[in-house]
Formats: sequence, structure tokens, C-alpha cells
Amino acid sequence: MSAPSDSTHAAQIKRTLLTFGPLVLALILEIVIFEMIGRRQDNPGFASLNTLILVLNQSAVYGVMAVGMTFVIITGGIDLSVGSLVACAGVLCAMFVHWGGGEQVWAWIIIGWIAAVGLGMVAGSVAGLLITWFSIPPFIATLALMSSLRGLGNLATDGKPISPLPEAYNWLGRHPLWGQVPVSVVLLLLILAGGALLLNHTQFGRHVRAIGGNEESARLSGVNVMRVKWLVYVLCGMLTAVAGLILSSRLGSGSPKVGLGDELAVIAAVVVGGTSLSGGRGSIGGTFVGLLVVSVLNSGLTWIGVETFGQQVTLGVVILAAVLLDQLKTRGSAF
Amino acid sequence: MKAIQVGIVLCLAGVLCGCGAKPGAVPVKPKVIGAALLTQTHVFYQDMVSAMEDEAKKQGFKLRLQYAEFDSQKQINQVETFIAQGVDAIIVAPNDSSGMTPVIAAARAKNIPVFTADIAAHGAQVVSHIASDNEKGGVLLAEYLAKRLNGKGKVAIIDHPTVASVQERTKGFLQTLAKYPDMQIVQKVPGEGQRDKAMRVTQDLLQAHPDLAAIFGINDDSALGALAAVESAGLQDKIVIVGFDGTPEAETEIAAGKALKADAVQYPKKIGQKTIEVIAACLRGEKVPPVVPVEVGLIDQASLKGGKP
Repeated sequence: MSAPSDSTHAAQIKRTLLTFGPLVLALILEIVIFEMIGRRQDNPGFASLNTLILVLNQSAVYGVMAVGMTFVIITGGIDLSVGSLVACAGVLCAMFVHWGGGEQVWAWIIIGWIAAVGLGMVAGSVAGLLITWFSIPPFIATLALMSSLRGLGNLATDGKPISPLPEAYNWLGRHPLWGQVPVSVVLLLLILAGGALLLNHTQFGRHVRAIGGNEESARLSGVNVMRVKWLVYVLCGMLTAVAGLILSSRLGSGSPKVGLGDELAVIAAVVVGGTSLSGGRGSIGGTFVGLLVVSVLNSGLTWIGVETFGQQVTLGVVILAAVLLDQLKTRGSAF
Repeated sequence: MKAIQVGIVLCLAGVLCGCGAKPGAVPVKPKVIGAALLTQTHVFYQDMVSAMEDEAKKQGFKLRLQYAEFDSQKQINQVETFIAQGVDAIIVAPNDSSGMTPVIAAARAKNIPVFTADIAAHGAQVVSHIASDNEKGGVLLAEYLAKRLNGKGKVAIIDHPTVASVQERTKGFLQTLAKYPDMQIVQKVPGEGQRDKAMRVTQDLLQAHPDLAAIFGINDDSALGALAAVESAGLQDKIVIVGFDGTPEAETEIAAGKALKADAVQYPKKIGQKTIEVIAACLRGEKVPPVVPVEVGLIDQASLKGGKP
């Protein structure tokens, strides 16, 4: 890469504005519209710090998963197993705490965390191996894992959620730090920051982008493509397990039924955030804004009393609009 | 300054009226009730909701409806939004009976009373649970089967064990059936309360137990799924199916003399109406019982034609 000159700096700023500008605008627009409709219904307060924290807390599960998914999608891959893995991770942790039977709760919770994150890394590692060593397309490999993991979670629990769990179990998903910011929100922000750092300022991150841009030329220029791709799935599995821990804590139970369809919600957030499904292009910042656009939409529609069916339709329209906007931009910059 | 004073007075008035009990005082903001229910796709819930809406209108409440559509995460998000909006009461019909404990505790911490309708929440402290007497329904069905099969035969259950109301149904059913030593439960298979899944598991069931005498579907979608499987296997004259809910579709099949012979019927409209009545009583400051059972009944071909079951 050449040293950045003033003109490339300017280009970079322009590019950043082009990428995030419309999304941030859409986000602000959403908040303003929901607040206005809310006020008409005698139901103000959507545009407030409390609601922002609420939305962040509600998007923590998808957000943590979306960071891992962004890496996977930038390499040109996909991971459909995250929804099932989220359930398995929560179930495993809840099992440990349940076995503990209320004695030394915190020790068991921490053991459960470690076991769940370990499980996530193993699952991701299996996906990575299938995709790299056995050259199975990511869509197929992770589709198979999605089914097997869902089954494993159900087998392990006989299909029943594990509960009741001690109150300390709710810490990760609900406990407010400094009076009002839930632990899960702090964790989400840390993981987002870590993800951005990893993608933009490390060799690993550069390799991830290089592979997504052109796998063959990345290989020719000395990138260990297999290893990097494998690691990307391990990372995604690990973060998905963390998300599963947050979700299980928020529900206060370890249920094998949660996370159905989460993979699609997470992919939607990543794509709305401007990451290209064909690989090579994307950012953690974009994913964060994309996530917020989707989460604010869901919370806002609930806030103004739009029922679930209406929410589903609106979400589809927003995903389409975001992708169309993205296409217009890339077409525009090609001229 | 004046404006602020007026504002304060108005606020105080609002607060006083808010918890005050004097009817006919200054018109106050209508009480807002947030309902986070299981699904919008079951006829049962559609009936329950329409009765809730009618009763809410009568009481002068504003009802905000949301549905989990089988996603627990979505449901707790909806309840959290209600809490943030500061609604006056929350109704929950949990997607997962065990997954609502922390969020219900969060509502309690904000002094918002929570009620469960139709499905209970395990381990959570709600003001009142309003639901059909599900256990009684299970008892009625088991007695019906015992009578019809002369106390003999193999029975299977299309189950959905994660839901508390279903657990009560199967409990009543199993306890009553245990009184008949020649009737045995051969298998409980999970149909998740959905018709297509129930049909698939019933097909497997029929393969495994060719001498099956009866199937208990824990709701009408399960029973109708089982009915489809039994009919396509040509076993409609050998197997008796009983269901739960009494949806119009199930009633049609029972009246037509199909293999679905009887249904325990709940009265979803009564549940909906009762729920709002209990909330109204609670908001007036009256004491309400922790469990409010709503009656159930039994229907079969004879009763649908005007006779007695």
C-alpha cells in the first residue's frame, strides 16, 4: 500500500461519509418519526437516553453475533449455524449452573461461560475445517451445522428449557453498571471496538479483506488463506457463544428453542450496514449502524403499537431499501 | 414562572387522579395496558384478543397488543418496551413459560403489575394468572377415552412439553388414565403445537405402534395434524383422536364424524374478558386472587347436535 497523501485522506473521508451518511440519516429519521408518532398517541419518550440504552440492550445479542458474521461475510463466506449455536451456548451454561444447584453460584456461572465459549470455538472450528479442508461451500457446511446443533441442544435438554436459575444468572444480560447501563451493552460496545480494531489495524484484518477481495491473489501474495478463513469461523463461533450467554441470561433460562431464524436477522443487520455479501467490502462501524437501524425499527414499531406482522413487512422493506441504496452508491462510484 | 406553577399543579392533579379512586372526577388519561401475547396466528388467540379489546373498551382502557410469534427474545423486548413506556399493567402469554422471570421482575421493580393469561410463567411473581382449568380438560378427555374404549388400549400424546398449560393438560390426562390399568401411554411425541409437525410425528407414531387405539393432541392443531396423518394411513376407523381447544375447524370435523371424536373446549373469549376484569379490579385497588380458573367443557358429535356428551 502507498503512503497516504492528502488527496487519499480526502477520498477516505468522502468514502466514509458516503458509506455511513445515508445510514446515520436513516437512523435519525427513524427516531424522529417514532417520537412524533408516539407524541400523537400521547406516548412520548422514544427519543431519550433511556430508550437508547433499552435499544442497545435489546440489540446486544444480535450485535455480538453480527461482529463475527461481518468477518465471515467479508471473506465471502456465510454462517447459518449461529441461531442454533446461540441456543446451545445458553443451554450449556445453564446446565452447569443448574448442576451446581445453587451452591457457589458464581463459580458455576464462570465455568458455564468458559464451557460455552469453548463450545462456540469448537463449533466454529468444525465449520472452518469443513469449509477449508473439505472445501464444502460455507452455505452448505453451516446449514448442516445449524441442523445438528439445533438437534444437539434439544437432545441435551429433552427439548425443555433449563430453569429456574439463580438470580445471579441474570447479571450478564440485565445488571445495570453505573446505575443504568446494562453489562450486556458495555460488552457489546467493547466487542464492537475490538472487532473494528482487529479488522482495520491488524495483519489478520488485512488478510480477511484480501481474501474476500480476491482469494487467489491473496494466496499468491503469501496469505495463509486456509488458516485465516478457519480463524474467522472460530471467531464467529466464539462471539456467537457470547451472544448466547447474554440471551440466556436475559431470559433467565437455558432454552434449546431460542435463536430460531437469528442467522437471518444478523445477516440482515450486516448487509444493511453495507457489508457486501460477495465479500471484500464491509466494516464493523457499518454493521453497528445497520444493527441500530434494524433494532430501532423493531423497538420503535413496538413503541407506536404496530403489531408483529406489520413489523415483519417493514423490516423486509428496510433491508431492500438499504441494499438498493448500496447498489446505487457502487454504481455511482464506478463512473 | 406562572406556567411552571400551572404545570406543577396539573402534574399533581394527574398523579392524584392516577392513583385516586374517585369515579367521575376530572377526566384522566385512560389507563394503558400492554399485552405481549404468544401469537396472532391461532384462532384461539384471535378470539381471546377480540374479547380483551371489547372489555378494554368497556372499562375505558387503552390496549396495546404485541405478539411473540414463537420468539422468546422478541417477547421480552416487547415487555421491556412496555416497561419503558410506563404502561399501567402488562399482560403476558409467555412463549416459553420459563423465560420470562427476569423481565417480569423488572416490571415489578417499576411497580407495574403483571398478569399472565392462558399460559403461566414459571418462577415469576405475577399478580394473577387467568387461564382455563387445563387440568380439568385433561381429566375430561381421559374419562371420555376410557369410556369409549371400554378402559382398554394403547394411547399416544402429541405433546408440547415446554408450555405450562400443556403440562397441566397432560397431567390431568395422565392421572386420570392411570386409574385404568389396561390403558397405557406408549409414547409422547413433540408436535410443538403446530399442525404440520404434528402430522409428521403422527406418521412416525403410526409406523412404530400399528395397534394404537387413541391419540391425544394437546391442542387442535396437534389433533388436526394427527387426524390428517391417521386418515392418509387409512386408520380412521381404528384410532380415536381427542383434541383440545374446540376451534371451529375441529368442531366441523367432530360434527362430521371423523376420527377426531371429542375436544376439551376452552372459552378463550371468557379468558380475555376475565383478564381485563381482573386488571380493572386490581387497578381499582381491590385484592385479586393469584389464580383465576376459567371453566372448560367437552364436546363430541352428540353435543354438537344439541345432545349431551
